[in-house]
Amino acid sequence: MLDFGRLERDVARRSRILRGVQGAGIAFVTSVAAVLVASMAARLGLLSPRPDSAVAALLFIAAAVIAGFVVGYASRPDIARLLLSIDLALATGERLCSLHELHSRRDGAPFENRIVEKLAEVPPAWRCALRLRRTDILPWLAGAGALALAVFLFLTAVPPAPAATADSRSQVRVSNSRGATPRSSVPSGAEPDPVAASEHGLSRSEPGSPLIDTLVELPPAPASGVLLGDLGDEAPAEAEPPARDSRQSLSEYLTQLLGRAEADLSQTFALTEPEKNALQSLLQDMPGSSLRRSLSSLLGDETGDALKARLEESQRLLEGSSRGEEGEASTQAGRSPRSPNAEADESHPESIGWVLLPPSSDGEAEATEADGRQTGADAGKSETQEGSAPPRNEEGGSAIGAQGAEEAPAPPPGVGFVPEELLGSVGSEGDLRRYLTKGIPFEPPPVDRGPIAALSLNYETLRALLEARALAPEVQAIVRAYFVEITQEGP
Amino acid sequence: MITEQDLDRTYSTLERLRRAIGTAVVGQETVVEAALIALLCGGNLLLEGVPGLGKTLLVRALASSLGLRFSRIQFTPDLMPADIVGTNVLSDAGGRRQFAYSPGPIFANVVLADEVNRATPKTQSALLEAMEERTVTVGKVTYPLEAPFLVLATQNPIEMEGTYPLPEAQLDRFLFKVTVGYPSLEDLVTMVERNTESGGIALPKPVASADDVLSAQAVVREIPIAQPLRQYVARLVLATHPDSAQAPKDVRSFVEYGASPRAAIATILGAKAHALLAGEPNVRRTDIESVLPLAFVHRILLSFRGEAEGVAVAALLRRVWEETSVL
Repeated sequence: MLDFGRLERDVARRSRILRGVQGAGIAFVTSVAAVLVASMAARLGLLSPRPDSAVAALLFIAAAVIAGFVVGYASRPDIARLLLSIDLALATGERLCSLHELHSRRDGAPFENRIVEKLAEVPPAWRCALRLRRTDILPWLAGAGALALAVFLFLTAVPPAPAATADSRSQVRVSNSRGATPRSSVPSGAEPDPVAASEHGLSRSEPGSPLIDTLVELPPAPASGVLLGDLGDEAPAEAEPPARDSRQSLSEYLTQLLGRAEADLSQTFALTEPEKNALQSLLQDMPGSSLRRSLSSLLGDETGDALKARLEESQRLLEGSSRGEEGEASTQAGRSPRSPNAEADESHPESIGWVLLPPSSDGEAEATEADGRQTGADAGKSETQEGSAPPRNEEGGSAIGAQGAEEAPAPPPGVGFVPEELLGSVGSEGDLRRYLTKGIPFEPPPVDRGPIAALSLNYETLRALLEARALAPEVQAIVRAYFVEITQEGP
Repeated sequence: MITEQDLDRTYSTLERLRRAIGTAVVGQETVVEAALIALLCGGNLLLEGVPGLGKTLLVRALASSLGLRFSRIQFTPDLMPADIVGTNVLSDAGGRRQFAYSPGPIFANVVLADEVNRATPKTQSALLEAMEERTVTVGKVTYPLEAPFLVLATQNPIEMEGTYPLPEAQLDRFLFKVTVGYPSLEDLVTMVERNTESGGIALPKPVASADDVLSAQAVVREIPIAQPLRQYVARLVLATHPDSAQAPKDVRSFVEYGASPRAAIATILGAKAHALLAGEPNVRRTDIESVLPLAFVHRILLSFRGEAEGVAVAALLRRVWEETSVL
């Protein structure tokens, strides 16, 4: 016997659940869309996301889904229509909804009995008619896709940890021709130098620029003297070694060891194995080989005063290295080179002049490593501490220490910076030539340009040419090959 | 209050009626069914078809099987209203002369208005009151008609000379309009056989009384129809109106006036009767689908464009049916 009252209740409950799922789906896709918009805004720099924003977004979505379900579940279903939909789906001859009609008027006994008899012949599997449809699942699928996109955008928009940012920025060894201060030189949270910031805005104004993004993603050339990370704002932090932070950690550790040595009155002060291991791990992160070599002597078997003296010497060496880098930063911030290319730069705000590393001997490279960072044609020279700045190559401009420069063989004299072939004309900058050097294309300095050889590369023009496909494919290939050469293959 | 016995008796009556009519009328199941539905609903039926298709025979067979009073009115251009509803005549009763009302042929249970479109509109309108209110007014006196009352009118679509198309108001008073088509080959052979052999066609004997009909009419009104189906019928009616948002494009283009509320009433009542005839205890969507063309076809007026392009109202109704959602 069909218990129609129970069937009505079951149908109503199932309908509420379905409505809840539908409401939750709509809420889900809506909330995810909101999160997606926020992620895109963060990606575009309109919002500054925080690491805990992800948790907040997930909580927001979860709350929306729950609210959607509750609203859907609380809505009162139209039982008659529900039963009619079941009738139509199961082809029951509209008996269920008619039975509901008879129940509501309570005087259709003969008809009710006959309807129930006919329903009993083939009991309706009404649950089959009340199930999630494709349109109900669609919001969930769309929401999941949007959520994945939002997560991706969020992950790519979240700024790296402050320490990593500082470390990565400290590796920047390329400066624009206006001498803009690398962003990393501005402490996190501090007010940036307005002059530097305005000048640095040349490169900052191009986030997301395809060419710059491509350049950023390229691995740095081992001995090119140019790190491209500064050209884009989105350079991955892990690609740049945290030298300054390591130096600071090492300095603190040395101070700690010195304190212990001075407190040890037994004249048998020696480093324990854990201390040696910690020291060794810290040394591994140090950028300069000479500095590393000098500090490595601490790992020997010396004890007592000798070890203490080595500790003090290492501390001095380390402090000197740090001062050298700070000097470099201040030099770049205060420098206003008026190279011949500067005029071109002013006429092309997007242009970036790259200062090239001249070919140098091993010793010079070592000295440069010991200096820490030495940039700028002239200002950086006065800030160096250990070792003297290498003599300026007439064509080379400033000497820029490069990580791992000692591993790469110095280019043979006379090979670098020699134009090999004419590629074409690049805007108002004149001919674009291909060079054998690991550096950046430059024009041979005219006689009146002074000792600094710098090249102003009009990025705007280049990008326009590449993006508008104005360049012939073979020229594009050459440009691409050029960057590959300077970034992967080396000289 | 309908009981199980009422229901069983109704089913039994309808089955007997069907069989009785079937002995006289060959084929034409749709027409017979429409006539029975009209009878069960207490409505009037307009039969349209060329002469010789058995329209009159159907009406006579129906009236004969019911044992009801039957009258036939042949409509002609010179037919007057008094010829239908009756008139006051001077009579001599006991040496005293006075006017006495002489009822017309409208006073019957089943009235056949043959070739109704050949009478003048004035005469046609004499049927209006009887068809709708089941009363006849002569002078200052109104006379009720005996229940059940059913007008079955026929009209000839090809004989247009000297005809007067029925006014819309009168058309609207017909529950259904049925187009009587040509019989099939088998039906035609059977028809010829029955008319040319033995004693010819014999009208059926009465198998149901007026009370049976009235009881069946009461049962029909109790047949349950779900509220969403009522709303569905209402949406169907609105969909025939050219200025309705639910109207299909063709309706907007070719229809001047859509179906009236009487169309909805006729559809639901007809669907109930159709369900009862089918032995179902409730109205189904298929019942509505069956009676919808019969109830709507004469209530939709085509626009000039629709007439000029020869649009079929039945095709428009099919479009309305397809494009109106039941939920």
